[in-house]
Amino acid sequence: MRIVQEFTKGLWNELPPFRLVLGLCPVLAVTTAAKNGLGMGLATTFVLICSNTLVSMMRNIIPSKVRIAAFIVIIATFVVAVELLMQAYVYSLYQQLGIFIPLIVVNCIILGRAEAFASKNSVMLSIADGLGMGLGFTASLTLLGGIRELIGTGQLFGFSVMSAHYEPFAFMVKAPGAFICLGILLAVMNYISMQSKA
Amino acid sequence: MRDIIKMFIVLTVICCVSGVSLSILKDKTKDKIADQEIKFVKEPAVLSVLAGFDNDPMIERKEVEFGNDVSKLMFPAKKDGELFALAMEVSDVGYGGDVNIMLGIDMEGQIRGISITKHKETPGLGARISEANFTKQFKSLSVSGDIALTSKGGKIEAISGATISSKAVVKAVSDGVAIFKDNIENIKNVF
Amino acid sequence: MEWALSDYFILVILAVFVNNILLAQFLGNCPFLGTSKNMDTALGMAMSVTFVMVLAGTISWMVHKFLLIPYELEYLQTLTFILVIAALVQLVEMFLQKSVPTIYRSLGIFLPLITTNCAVLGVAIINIKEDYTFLQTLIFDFSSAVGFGIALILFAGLRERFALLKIPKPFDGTAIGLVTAGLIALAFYGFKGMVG
Repeated sequence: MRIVQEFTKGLWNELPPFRLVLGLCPVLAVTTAAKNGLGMGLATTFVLICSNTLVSMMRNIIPSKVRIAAFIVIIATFVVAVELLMQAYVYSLYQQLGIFIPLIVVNCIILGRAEAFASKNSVMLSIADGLGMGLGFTASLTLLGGIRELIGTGQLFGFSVMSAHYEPFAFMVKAPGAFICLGILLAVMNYISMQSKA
Repeated sequence: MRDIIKMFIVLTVICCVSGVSLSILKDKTKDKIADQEIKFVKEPAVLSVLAGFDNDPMIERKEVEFGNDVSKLMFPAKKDGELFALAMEVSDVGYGGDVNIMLGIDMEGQIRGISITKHKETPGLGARISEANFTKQFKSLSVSGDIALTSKGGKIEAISGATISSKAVVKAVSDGVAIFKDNIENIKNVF
Repeated sequence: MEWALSDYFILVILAVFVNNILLAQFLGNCPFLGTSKNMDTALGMAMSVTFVMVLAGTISWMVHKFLLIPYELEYLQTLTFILVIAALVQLVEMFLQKSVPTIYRSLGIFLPLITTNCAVLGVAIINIKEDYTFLQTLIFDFSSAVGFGIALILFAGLRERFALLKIPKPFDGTAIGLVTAGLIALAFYGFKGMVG
C-alpha cells in the first residue's frame, strides 16, 4: 500500500527533525516542557495536513513560476487560522508558545513538504504524507520536551515524577541545554540506525 | 502573456479566498478570544485587588459610560447581591511606554489595592513599580491629596531613580479615583 | 517615551549578546546549521541576512503602522509580513542581478533561503510586539542581525576545524554541530549578567 508507506516514512526513515534536519527553531525553543512540545507539534501537524491537502488539490492550477508565492499564501492562511483558534480555545498554551505560532509559517518542513511532495502527488497521498510527517514531528518534540522537563525540573507534563531528593538540573531547560540535548538525541538515533544496518 | 495573466489571476484568487475566509473565522472567534483574554490576562489582576466577594466579577463585567463617549470596563465585587467594591484598569504614560494598572476601589472611595498589569519600564529601576513594597502604599488611601508623591505632600514614597515611573502610577491611580468619585451614582445604577 | 542614549546602548547590547537571536531565542537555526560549514558561506549568509533583516523589519513596521492598524487588520500580521519578506527578497534578488552582478554572484544563492529564515520574520514580529518606535526598530533589527552574524561566523570558525578531528561516528555532522552550538550558547549565557 502506497498510502501506508507514505504515512510511515515520516515516523522513522524520514523522521523530522532528526532525519530531515529542518524546522529546528521551534524544536529548540518550545521544548522546555513536554506539554509545550506536544501543543506545538499538533499545531504544526494541523497546518501541514491542511496545506498539503490544498497544495495537492491545486497542483495543476498553480503556474510553476509563482508556486512558492502561492504555497506561502496558503500556508500563512492556515497559520493565521491556527493563531485565532488557539487564542479562542487554548489561550494559556497560546501565551506560552508566543512568537513561535506565527513562525510556523517559516517552518521549513511545511514549505518543504508542499514543494517536494504535495505539488507532485495526489490528495490522498499528500494527506498521508502530512499526517506521518506531522505526527513524527509531534512525537519528536514531545520526547525532547519530556526529557528536558524531566531532567531540568523533575516533572513530566507538569506532574512531579522524581523522588523528593532529586535535584533538578536546570541547565536542561535553559537555552544551551536545548542544543546539547538535541545533539545527543540525534547522535543516539544515528547510533541506533548504524547498529540496525550492521 | 497568457501565462502572466494566469499567474496574476491565480494569485489574486488565492489571496481573496484566504482573506475572506480568515475574516469570517476572525468574526466567529472574536467573542471567545475576548473572553479568554479577560480570563487569562485580567482575572489574576482583578483577584489580586478585590477580596471577600461571592459573585463572579468576570461574568458580571460591564462597560460603564461616563458621557462624552468615554467608557471603562469595570469588574464589580458583590456580597449577597450588594455592590461593595469594583476593579477597573487605569493607565498613564511612564518612562518606556504605557503603564497599565488594575485598581480596586470600594464604594466609600477607598483604594482596596492596585496591581501593575502591563509596563515597559527599565528593569531594576522603573520596573520595581510592580513590587509589593511600592503598590501596597496605595492601600486604604482615599483623599486625593494623599495619592501623590511625598515630594508633593502625598503619602507615596517614589522609587529612587524612577520618579517618572512612580509618577505615572500615582497619576493613573488618582485619575481613576477621581473618575470613580465623579460617577459613583452612575456606577451604582449600572450594577 | 523619551529614550536616553544609554537606553539605546542597552538595546544594542541586549540584541547582540544577551538575547542573541540565534543562541538565546532560537531564531534562524536552519541556515545556522546549514551554511556554517565554511567561513566564506557564513560571511555571505551573515551579510545577506543583515541586509534583508533591516529592510524587512522596517518595511513591515511601516506596513503594520500605516496599513494594518488603521484598517483593524492586525490579525493578518503573519500573512502580510511573510508576503512583504517574500516580495522583498525577490526584488532584492532582481535588483542585484541587474545592477551589481558581483554582489549577486556571491550572495545570490542565499537570498531564496532567507524567505524561510525565521529570524527575519521573528524580528519583524518582535518589533511590533515590543511596540518599538521607528528608530528603535531600525537599531534593534540591525543589532539582531549583527548578533546573528557574530554567532554564525564564530560557529563556522569552529566547524572548519572539525575536518581535522576524529569525531565519533554517531556524532558526525549535525549532531556535533548542535553540541558545539550549545557550548557557544553557554558562553553567550554569561552576558546575561551584564544587563541585570
